[in-house]
Amino acid sequence: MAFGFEPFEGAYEVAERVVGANVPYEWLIYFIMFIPIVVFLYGAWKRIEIWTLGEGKINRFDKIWVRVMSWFTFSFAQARVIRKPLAGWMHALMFWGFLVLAAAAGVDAAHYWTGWPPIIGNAYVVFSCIVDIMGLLALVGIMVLFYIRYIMKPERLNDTKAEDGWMILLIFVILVTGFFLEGLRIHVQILLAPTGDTSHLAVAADYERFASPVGWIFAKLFSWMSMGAAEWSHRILWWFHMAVAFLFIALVPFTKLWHIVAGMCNYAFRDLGPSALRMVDNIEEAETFGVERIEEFSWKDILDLDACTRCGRCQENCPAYNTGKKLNPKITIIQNMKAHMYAKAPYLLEARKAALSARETGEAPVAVAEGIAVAADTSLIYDVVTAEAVWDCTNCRACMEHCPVFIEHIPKITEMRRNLVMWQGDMPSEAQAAFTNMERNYNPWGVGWALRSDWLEERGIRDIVNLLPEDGGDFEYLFYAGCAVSFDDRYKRVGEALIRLLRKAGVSVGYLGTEEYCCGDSARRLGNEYLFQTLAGQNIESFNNYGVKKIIVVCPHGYNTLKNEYPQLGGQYEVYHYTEILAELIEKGKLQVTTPINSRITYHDSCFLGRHNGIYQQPRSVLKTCGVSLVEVEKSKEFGFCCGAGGGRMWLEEEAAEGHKRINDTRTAQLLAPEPKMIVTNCPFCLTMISDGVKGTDQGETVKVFDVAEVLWKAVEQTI
Amino acid sequence: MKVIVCVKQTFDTEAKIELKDGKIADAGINLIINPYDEVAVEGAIQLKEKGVAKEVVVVAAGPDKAMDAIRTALAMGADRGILVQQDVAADEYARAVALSEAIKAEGPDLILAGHVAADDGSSQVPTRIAEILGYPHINVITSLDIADGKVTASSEADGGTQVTEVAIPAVISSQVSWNEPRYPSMKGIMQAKKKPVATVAAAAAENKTKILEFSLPPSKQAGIKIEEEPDVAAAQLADWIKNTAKVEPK
Ligand code: SF4
Ligand code: SF4
Ligand code: SF4
Repeated sequence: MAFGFEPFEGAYEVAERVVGANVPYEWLIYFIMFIPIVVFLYGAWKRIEIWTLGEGKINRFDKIWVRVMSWFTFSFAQARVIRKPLAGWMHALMFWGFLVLAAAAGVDAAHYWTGWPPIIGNAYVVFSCIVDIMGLLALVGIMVLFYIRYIMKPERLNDTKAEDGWMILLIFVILVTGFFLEGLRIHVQILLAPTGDTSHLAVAADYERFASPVGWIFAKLFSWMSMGAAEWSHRILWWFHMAVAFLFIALVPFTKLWHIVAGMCNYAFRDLGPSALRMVDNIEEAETFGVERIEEFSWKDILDLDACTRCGRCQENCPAYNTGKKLNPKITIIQNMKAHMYAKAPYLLEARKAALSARETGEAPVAVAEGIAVAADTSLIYDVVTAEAVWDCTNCRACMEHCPVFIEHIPKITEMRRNLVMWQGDMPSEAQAAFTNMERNYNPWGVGWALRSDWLEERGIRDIVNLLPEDGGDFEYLFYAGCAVSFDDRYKRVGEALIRLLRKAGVSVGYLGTEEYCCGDSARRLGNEYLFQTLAGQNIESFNNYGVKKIIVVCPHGYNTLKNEYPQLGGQYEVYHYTEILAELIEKGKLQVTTPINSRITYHDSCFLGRHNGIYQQPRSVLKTCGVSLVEVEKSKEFGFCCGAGGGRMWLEEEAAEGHKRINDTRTAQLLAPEPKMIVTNCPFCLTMISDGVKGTDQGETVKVFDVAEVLWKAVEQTI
Repeated sequence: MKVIVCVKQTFDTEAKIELKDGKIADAGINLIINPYDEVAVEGAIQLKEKGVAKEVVVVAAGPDKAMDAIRTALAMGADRGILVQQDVAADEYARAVALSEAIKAEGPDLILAGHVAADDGSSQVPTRIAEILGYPHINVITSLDIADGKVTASSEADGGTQVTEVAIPAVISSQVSWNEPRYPSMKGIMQAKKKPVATVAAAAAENKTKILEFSLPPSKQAGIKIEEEPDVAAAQLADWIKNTAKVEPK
């Protein structure tokens, strides 16, 4: 023990975890390790300080236990990450492997500090074996990740940077040097082992075959080495391995590795509520609207920027990006905002410091204001993200659905729209028209509001509808028709089919007619929060006047808004989409199919029923009852591709980008690919968008687009 | 340069008009700023944004409710307003007199207005104002240029465009195709609340016209649909025209 270290002993009497043998001054490591830890803490604080620059209000400290569970499940089970089959699982292997290796290192450190007895015997064999195999899995993981990024090169990783390669190399080196060390040690142990009675496990360190199966293979790689060479290599490599591992820790806050921390924070602080836009409280008294400067976002939004792993899952599923638009949730939203935030942060931090000291000294911070002005020269909306990208989004939620770290893209886009609409007054003229229409006539089409219930006469169902303002009968469910049923000639038929179906099944419904207003979804998602709150308030007042408890909504946009957003304004009702009701009526035997429809169909999941509310199964079960043969298109359910009408884009023109089709035409082509007889959907906007799409193709004459309700009505009553 | 914009408050263009006791029932009808006047307001604000106009003043003649129309114009970006209190029953003449009085007191360089109101569609007020004030007048313009104390405006002429030049002060009435009025932002609406609006009494003027009666257009009859082979269908249609619709050749 001349240098304070133990030499290798060859085989031990009982199998034993060898910690630090053969390395002079090995104990130093337990002091040196504080260097990377301090660097890490300092760097972490610097990053977290930036999150605190967010001025926007948000409460993410509620439901602590749910948050702890969320943090745990998504961090350690990698539940969201593994949704991407190959890359996700490889990441998980690497993560779990690293976790186990780090835990083993932790056990060694604890052993040093507390003087626990070494792990020996079978406990050692099992413990070591697990660590060894997990290490191997991590190694496989990182190599496949390298393969994916640099050989397969999927489109979603289209912004690979040098840093990505360096980090892969770093992790690879840590893992490989670890195995080299293990191999060298076992090789020396074998050399030192007494030969002879090979039946004894201790002899020739044979137990290492089981304890360190991977290390054993590496030992064989070094079998040509002399004892001295092996010992010296081991010593040098050991320090190298430690240095690289410490480098890793120290680098976390300064590199993309920071996503480990920020991502875990995101798992804890994610939005736990249903899919709803964020509420603006006391809008009457607000002094600014939306977000114009990046620091006006909340701390969670800034944290989001740090959590982004650039995995590109959002980009891969974004309809705007995939049709050549300016918007790319990964780049134009998150990464551009991140770069902007980091460019502006030093000034903001200084300004904050100056403001604090000004409060103490009573002097106004002058110098800093100039620095801020320089940074503020870059406009968040116009230069960093661009207004065009802000308007491109269809609120389809594909980005948020697939983001492994629950980044909230839509709320950010909405905040910028709010600023454009309510503060700058800068918006596409079609949006203006839609707002004016909703404002004056309570529907985006702009048809006179007094005609809202005229569709009943037109479709010849006035006498079978309990029109509350006139008939005032009792009812169980409110039938919230929505603007499309009221004013869109095509969709009035769907309204009729539903009324007839509900009547046939004996469901008691009431309808508000002219006392029903637009749900406000389009207004809200286009950024006109004020108009939304006005419309929602009017509806809630009407609902309460008539003592509404349960509501059946026809339009998925209205459904999402009434169900998930009206509670923000005090409107608490039991809200159902009609497909939920129909599926239940069928199940209860209240609706029976008389003439099965033997058509080959494809089904389009509307984003607001699907991703926003997770309703995939009911409409399918209704269709199945109708006898159709439903062919699933490639992009369906969670991966459904938007029709292009969400987020208020229904009312905006869409220009096809160079080399691309428009969103609705792109989706239509996907739906037509399996050569169906009809395409079925569940939303008035989708119906419009896809009908338009089909008309433009050579199948325009043969393929018909229907709503689920119409298909069921046809199957039940043979008329459509 | 001071610009005055005359605005009128009208029924929403989509409103369902019903008669009650021979009069238009206005319950439940949303009131808006006349869409043609809205274009004039936008034109004035654009002149201000270009630095041509210094101040934009909106003037409306009507009952107290008309204040909403003024506020909308202020929210769009006009600087202040004048409400000339007048009964809704005032005819085009009385209205023009009342507005002219208010305009005279302001002494503007340019008077803008929509060329027609969406409700009565009489298209008289701007022309009458020009007459009363003795100012030159260009009607139904689609573009406007101001330089060296002169207004050059294009207006729609039969099958073409007419370019006219007049000296200011002048009365200019706008066609809807001149521009696209902006949607007032919340910032605009908040600022509008703080902008001054003066209320003045209308100059006395008797109506020169008297409305005798209101009536609604006959409601649309459902069409007929003949689903037959072309030769049969043509014969049936001819029969229908002759015997049912009773269309007689002249
Ligand atoms: S919501 Fe849809 S359109 Fe908008 S950024 Fe996300 S994926 Fe793209
Ligand atoms: S926002 Fe989410 S999905 Fe998109 S690149 Fe970043 S981590 Fe991936
Ligand atoms: S989103 Fe649905 S309910 Fe709302 S305006 Fe539209 S169709 Fe109507």
